[in-house]
Amino acid sequence: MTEQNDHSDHSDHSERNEPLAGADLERYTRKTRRQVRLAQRACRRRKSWLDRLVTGFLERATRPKSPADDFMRDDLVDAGISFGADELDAYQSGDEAPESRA
Amino acid sequence: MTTSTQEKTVLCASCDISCQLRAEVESGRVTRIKSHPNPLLRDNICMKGIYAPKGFAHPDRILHPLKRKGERGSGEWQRVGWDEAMGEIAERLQGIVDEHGPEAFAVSTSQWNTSTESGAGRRFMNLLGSPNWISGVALCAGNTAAVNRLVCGWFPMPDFSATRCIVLFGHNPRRHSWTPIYNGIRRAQQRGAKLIVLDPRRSENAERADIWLPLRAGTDAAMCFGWLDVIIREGLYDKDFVRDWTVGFEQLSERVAEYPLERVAEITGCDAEQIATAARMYASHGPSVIPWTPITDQQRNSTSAIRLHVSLRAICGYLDVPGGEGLLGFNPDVIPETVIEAHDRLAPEQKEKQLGADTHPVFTYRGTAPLAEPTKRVWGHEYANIVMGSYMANPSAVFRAMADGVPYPVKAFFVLGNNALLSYANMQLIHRAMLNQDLIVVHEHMKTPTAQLADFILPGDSWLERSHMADGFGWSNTIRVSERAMEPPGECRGVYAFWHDLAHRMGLGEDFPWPTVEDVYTYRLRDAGMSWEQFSSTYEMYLPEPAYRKYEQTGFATPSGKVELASSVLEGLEFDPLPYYREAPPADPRFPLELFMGVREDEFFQTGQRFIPELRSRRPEPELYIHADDAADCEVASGEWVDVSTKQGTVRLRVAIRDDMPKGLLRVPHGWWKPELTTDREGLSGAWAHSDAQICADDEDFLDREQGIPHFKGVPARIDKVDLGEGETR
Repeated sequence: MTEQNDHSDHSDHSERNEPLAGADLERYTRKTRRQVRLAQRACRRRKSWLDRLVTGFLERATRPKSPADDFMRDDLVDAGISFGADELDAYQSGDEAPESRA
Repeated sequence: MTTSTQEKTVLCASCDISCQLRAEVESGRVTRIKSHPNPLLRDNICMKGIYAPKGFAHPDRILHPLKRKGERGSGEWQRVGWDEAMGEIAERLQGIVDEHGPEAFAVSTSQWNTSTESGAGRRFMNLLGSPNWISGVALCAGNTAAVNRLVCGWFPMPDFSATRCIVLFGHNPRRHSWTPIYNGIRRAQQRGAKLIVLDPRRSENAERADIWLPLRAGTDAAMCFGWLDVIIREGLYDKDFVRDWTVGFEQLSERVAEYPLERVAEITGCDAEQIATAARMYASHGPSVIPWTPITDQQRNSTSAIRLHVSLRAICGYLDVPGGEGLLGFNPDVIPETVIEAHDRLAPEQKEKQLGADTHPVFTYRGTAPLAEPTKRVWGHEYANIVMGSYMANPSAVFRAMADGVPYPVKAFFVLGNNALLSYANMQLIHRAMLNQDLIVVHEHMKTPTAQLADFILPGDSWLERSHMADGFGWSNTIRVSERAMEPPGECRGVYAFWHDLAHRMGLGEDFPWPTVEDVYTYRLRDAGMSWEQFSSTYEMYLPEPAYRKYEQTGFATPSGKVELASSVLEGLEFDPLPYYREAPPADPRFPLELFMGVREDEFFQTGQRFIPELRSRRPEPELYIHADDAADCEVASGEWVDVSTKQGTVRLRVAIRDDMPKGLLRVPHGWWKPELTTDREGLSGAWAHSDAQICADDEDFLDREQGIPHFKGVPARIDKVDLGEGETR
């Protein structure tokens, strides 16, 4: 079985990490509810100053620590590809296919 | 950005994930799709979304209703107006209903790109009296949802934000496929979560896994038994939860004992100690998640394997806890789509006629009937059509009725946003079934092989051209908003308009009081006290507050109120109440290799996008992935063409030798046709050459017993080299 990865830490698995329950779960639920209320502010369309503040906070909190950690970077996505409106109209009418603009 | 550029929030329907994106609009045209700036949605975009504006501007897009002129499939069409088309469709459908009964009418939809019908399609069918609705979700997520409901009453949603261990049963989310899931997995790994991958291929996720188990294709159920054997023997389960909230643990334990680790190692081809290590990690390093996987959906033992996934979640105590898998239920402020579907309006005697319900009932009305009361008790509604996977007919049974009139004739087939001919097993049967129809109506963007066999092709709108209120196909309780970013070109219309128009022409107008789909959204938002206009101008996402261990107040939405490790529903349907592993039929020496089918590629989702030049140029031909040793044995080289044959049929694919494929297993891509090829009945734009649907069998050896869905993982096959002239592919 040489092909199988085994990067596990081989830590002792004889004891379980028990899922949260009781008072711990209540605390966690209160915390996640606060987080969801903050997230809801980031999802409002017309943002108040508080909404914008919260969004900025979430932006910083979710930003990758370094470019090397940013697994979502991708050349195709980052190229910011767009098309010309007139060219798309012409394409639909049977003219030449528009080139994408990076 | 110029001053004339506007931005709209849209939900992508280029695949089934529904990423929320931003569309830049210039001069009434969407010119650019980009990721949404909301930090919760960071970079959730892929190439299919980026190139969508060009795809929807394709010169071959159908912009006006078309009516068939010559014989079916002749490729001769005449342009007609909507009114003429809908008038004739209504008249002919009424004639078929009068002659054969409403059950002679069947519908197939993809549902991910037609979900803006907001339940109208099922509503129309239920009011008319037909139970025969089918969808590709029968073998992709919808069936998983239905089977999960049998065991725990809802379809669990993984909590990637807090999980400590992720298990991928063959699923391989990537940067450009299932992007938000890829994002969730990678973020969890950055937090320190473990990743266990079970995949015969050395996939991208296998490369990044803590443990990779290269199990034999199609042996997921056996692997789960091995994990349960370790977890139960070593006492690594949540004993309180098992005692208080499950039924059938003793019976399950006895069944598990029939699959000791050594036997599981033999079936799966994996090392017994590695299986044990993975099982211990899952049970001890939790809370863990086993996200939905299309791989387990499509196996001979799918029902058992999906039940075993839920059994693992349950006995380890990972249901409805932080970092585990949430049972989210309906959004309390929004009327669910299931209510619009009006399943309560379909008469019991018509439900009994649902095709396939007698032999493979799990996701039919018959199979889900025992869940009505518990679902009402826990979730407030009798019907919960999560991922549209409950209350479906069996696709193969519908196609047999269409082709042969057994057990009764189906003579009208409507296909919306779905390339049905290429989307289910046994394309030969589907083709014969379509040729035997009196009326086929297709609502589409392009002349797909399915559309080529229609009587009418109606021009559909795209996700840039309509508003949408999405609830994650009933699986998530987050409500998301999509704005209409541009007007539909030509005479393109949405699916809701189609059903609304047809209902009014066929005397069902009183039950379709909402003139537009936005009016349906307003109705559904009644309890939120907002109109669609108010809601969509206030929110981009509407997030319910999280709650955990809700079952402690309500019980589970199963007949016993507990997680049914031994299923009372399956027992009532005269199936084995416990999961099992059914061996493959004896090996056939004519087919020494095995296929791994149903695989989506980054550039395309299902049968779509192959007409978009930028995506097609990245993957111009359908490729067979093969190990170098197998290629040498078969005397084929990369770039050469081969015929891949199963006992069902043959497809032609180009060889790609890959070191990530295991010896003996061949990867076949899903959904290939070539829009640039002629639309003659014999070729169907290359579908007869390349579509994997014609090598997927649907006889009993290849069907899951309880659901009746086909086996795509580990299908016996052979390859034969073909010598072609330059430029020939078929």
